[in-house]
Amino acid sequence: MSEKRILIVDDSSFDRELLVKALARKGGFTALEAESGDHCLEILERESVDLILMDVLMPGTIGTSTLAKIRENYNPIELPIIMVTSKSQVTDIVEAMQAGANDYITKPVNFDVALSRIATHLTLAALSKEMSRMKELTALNAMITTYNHEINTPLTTALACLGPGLVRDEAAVARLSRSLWRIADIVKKIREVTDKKEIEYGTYVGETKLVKI
Amino acid sequence: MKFSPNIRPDKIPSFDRGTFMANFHGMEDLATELAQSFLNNLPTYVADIEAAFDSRSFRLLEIASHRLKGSVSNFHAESAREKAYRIETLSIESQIDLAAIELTIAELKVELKRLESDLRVEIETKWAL
Repeated sequence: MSEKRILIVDDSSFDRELLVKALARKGGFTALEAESGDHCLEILERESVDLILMDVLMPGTIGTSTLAKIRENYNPIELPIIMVTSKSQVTDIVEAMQAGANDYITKPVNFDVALSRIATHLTLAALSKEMSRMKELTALNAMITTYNHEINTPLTTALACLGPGLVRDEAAVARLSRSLWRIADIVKKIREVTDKKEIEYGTYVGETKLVKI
Repeated sequence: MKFSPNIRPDKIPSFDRGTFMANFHGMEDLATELAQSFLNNLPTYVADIEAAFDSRSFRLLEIASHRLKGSVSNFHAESAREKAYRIETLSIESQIDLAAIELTIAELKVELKRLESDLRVEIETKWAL
């Protein structure tokens, strides 16, 4: 996990230094630092970050309000956030979890516990991203199957109608016309499917999926 | 807190060395580096608390004492942590007790002196004692 980048948000330069150095040494992480909630938001605008460790109480912005702003752009799977709190901040912990924190650790930070929690959330995020990618692939495959099935049949018919001598046959011209209009209709429906947020699937052959249009 | 008659409060260790070093197992050099860094930051921590109190900026006092509480807790310096936490809670009460805050700041500074002294010994001996 050495390529993973963790953003440590804490107004205490010493506490940041401690986490940056210990996580780099024990976990091999690259750590970025932010001294405030606003600084954290600035960094997120220009840097790629895999996970955030954020102190609950900081000047300027309370950690939980920064957390809520981050959640406007990143969901808990895209960017896990672990709050760092003191044991006395039970209310803050509840508030932070409700505002979208994935987890929390307490100060003084036990490095082994912190690394374990970080690894868990990075793994969950990676698995979730992989699942999303698999779903996208499934949708893409289904779409290709659908195109192939729905367009191929009328297209074959249309091409057959264009055979030598057949285009003068009125019945063949009618079939050709129907087939081409069928193709046009399918293309329109497929375009409508791509505008939908949810894709409904049917089964084509065996395990092969088909997009319902 | 009650103490055994045979043990003077100032002889009680200022921090839990065993728990602190367990966290830094195999990273004694980093423990030394961070202890030195903490000592470098210590005057600023105290100055922030005193400035906030002198200006009666209790929100800043809450933040400064909270920050120090978090930092000393890394060393498991329970007594200093408890004093910082008391200042933090006193600074958010509806009726501010200035005398209690002033007294606790004085007690905190005593604890920080002890912690500073103990950490300097550890840094010099590289945690060998």
